[in-house]
Amino acid sequence: MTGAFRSLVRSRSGLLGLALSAVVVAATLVSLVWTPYDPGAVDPRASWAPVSGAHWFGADRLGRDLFSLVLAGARTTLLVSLAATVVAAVTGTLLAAAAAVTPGWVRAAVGYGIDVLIAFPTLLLAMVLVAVHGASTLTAVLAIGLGEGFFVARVMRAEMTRVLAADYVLAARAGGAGTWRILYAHVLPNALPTLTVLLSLVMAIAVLAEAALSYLGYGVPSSTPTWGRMLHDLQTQLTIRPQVLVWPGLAIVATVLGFNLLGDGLRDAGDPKARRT
Amino acid sequence: MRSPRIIALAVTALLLAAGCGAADDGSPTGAAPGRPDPRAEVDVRLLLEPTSLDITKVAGAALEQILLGNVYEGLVKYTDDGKIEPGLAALPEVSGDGLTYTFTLNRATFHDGSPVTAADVEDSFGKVIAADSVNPAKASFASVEKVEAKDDTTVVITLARRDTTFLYALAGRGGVVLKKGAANRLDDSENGTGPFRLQNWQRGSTITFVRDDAYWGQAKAKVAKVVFHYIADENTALNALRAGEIDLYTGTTGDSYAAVQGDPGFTVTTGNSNTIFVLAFNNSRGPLKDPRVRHALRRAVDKDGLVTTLGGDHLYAKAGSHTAPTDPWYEDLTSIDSYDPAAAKALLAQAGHAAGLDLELTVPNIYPSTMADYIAAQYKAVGVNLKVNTVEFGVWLDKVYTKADYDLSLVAHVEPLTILQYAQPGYYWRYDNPDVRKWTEEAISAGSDAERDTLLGQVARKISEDAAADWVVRSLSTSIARPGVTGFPKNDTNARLDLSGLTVTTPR
Repeated sequence: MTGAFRSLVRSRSGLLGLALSAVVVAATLVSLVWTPYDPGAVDPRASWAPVSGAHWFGADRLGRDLFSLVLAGARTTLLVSLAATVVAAVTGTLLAAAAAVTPGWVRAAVGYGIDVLIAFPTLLLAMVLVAVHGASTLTAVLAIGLGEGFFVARVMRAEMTRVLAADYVLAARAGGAGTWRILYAHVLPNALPTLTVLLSLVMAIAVLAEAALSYLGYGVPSSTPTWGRMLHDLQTQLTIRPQVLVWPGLAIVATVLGFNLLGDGLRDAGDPKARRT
Repeated sequence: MRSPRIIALAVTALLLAAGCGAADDGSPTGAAPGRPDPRAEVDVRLLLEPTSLDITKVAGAALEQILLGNVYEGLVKYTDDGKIEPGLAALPEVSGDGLTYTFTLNRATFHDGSPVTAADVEDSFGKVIAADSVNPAKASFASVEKVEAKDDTTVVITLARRDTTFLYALAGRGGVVLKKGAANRLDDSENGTGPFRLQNWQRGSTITFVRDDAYWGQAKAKVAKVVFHYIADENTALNALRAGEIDLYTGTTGDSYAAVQGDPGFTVTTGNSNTIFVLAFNNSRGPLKDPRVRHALRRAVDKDGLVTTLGGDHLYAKAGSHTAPTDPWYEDLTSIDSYDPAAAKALLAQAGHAAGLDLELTVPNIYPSTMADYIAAQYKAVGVNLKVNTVEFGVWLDKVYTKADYDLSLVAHVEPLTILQYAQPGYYWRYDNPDVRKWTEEAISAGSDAERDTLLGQVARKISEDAAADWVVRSLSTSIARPGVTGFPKNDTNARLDLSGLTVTTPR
């Protein structure tokens, strides 16, 4: 893996992806212990304060510090997208395994099921969940995680089917290994690189999905600062003070770009044909 | 797997487009005023769409705003400067004891061509005061004992007691005269008497009025067509204004004001208004029964700061009670429960909530989240955790207004004389105070306006001293018009937009 890491940082886009992702993670960690202001605290005197030493990104209508809000928003974004990615990984892998190792008609049924579910837009799923259970962080995580999980399942099913046909699996089977043993000892480890790359991309999608959900009012509760909600609240300023919209927009772009490039970089680094030595 | 990156690029492109859009807005040039154009069509931006047009059954200012004076008329009308003028009838002769009002009808006609007779008036008002009436204005007719048609053009209304607000009630939605025996569905059609007819209602989008060329009055409408555009989203509305799709813009906030400030392509008109944002406390529920908690909640919110953040004192003003400077009984009560977070904390501690208090605010989604966010943040500073629950307006009407199933609520009350509702224990505030009830009753049956004003002044002071609600801000009535668009009311446009005098002089 050290070789893969070296080739990741050697590729320019991979390095940029790593750097951007690191900045987001760092911002999240910093926001846990410190923000310049309480992100929720209002200060009428600072209403629409411009960019200054006191307010690095300026302030919104209520005088809330935009830099603090962006920092605190990173926390929500990372939490929701990480948790959603875990949900996607678990559901995706389980479904894919079910579709890959089960015999005959079950395999076909699960496969078609995944194809049908993948056609469900994540946002629609989220709206249904919110309508039933109310907007909460958990709802957002589940909606995004399940929606992306079907997508993960589709890719992983193909990968697992490929691995299952490999000679070493046939050898293991001939040696008397059971289905669970083969899945656990052979299929999963060999499908893991694909899953890693896939998940970094899923994470990027999750960031966007979280922002979209918050923007539409289906995301985390209103007291939690998120970039999507910031965009929603500030959008009335689009033609009046466009500069305030730059910060949450930039944060979303940087994060999505970071995870995407990291995923691309990881894929290239993990691919022996593409690896430069 | 490339789609996420494409989306990321699209977001960037949107941001860039936003930056460009701000730079070149195609603001129309102000043409020199020419002759009034009777063929003009005027596009008006309004905020809140009615759920039905049945003014005899459905509550909500959105109906009165467009229907009163335009489609429906009463015996008398309420002018933009707050006077009562003749309408379908001349001003009444009032008996010495103030109990008998005699009206002589003008020669008016309904939109179907039939004449307005005293029998129509008797029938319309009889339905308002009937025992099974669901008319939202029934309470304003509480003093009416009977309505009689003496002959075709004479109506005599007898009151059970003096009522100093009766002519205002007649000029309001309860006083609308409908044709006796008319079978049209009132929720989406009309047979009114006003200068405009309802032409079309595209639900969720527009309501169109056209001039009634057979209007009975001296002056017919001065424009051919008025289209009300219901655009709740301010950004969309501002874009429509700038693109020339809107000629008259109501519901101006700090943002829209800032956007057109100094632009010669628009004229800004500011008038007074009775629009008061009421942070209602459910006086019958839990901790809010305790006046100390209500006072603490009022003292926790910095109203000066709120006015600043909403755009300044040319758009909003502080309100110390449910009264506006246009009320003859107005008194500046903003010093009651002035901003003092330390005092708020102390009051909460006295009331046994030193450890904190959880409350829920139910707010319709037609208002921007600014005010609710501001209040929640300031409550948090005194240890009150406010959960903001944003709902559709219909849900608000049902849950809060009808069933009073809420802790706190935030809505703009726009009608004049809303202060009378503090004497109605069944109103959604669930506020019940014997003094307020007594003074209000006395004020309504007062022998003189001066006496009435003294009593209502007492009511305004009492409800504030009792923290019956928090009146967070009063909004002024600011309209933005394209040059050449004149003759629209400037006061209280949220409650009533009488467009009978609307004129367009710019060639369009």
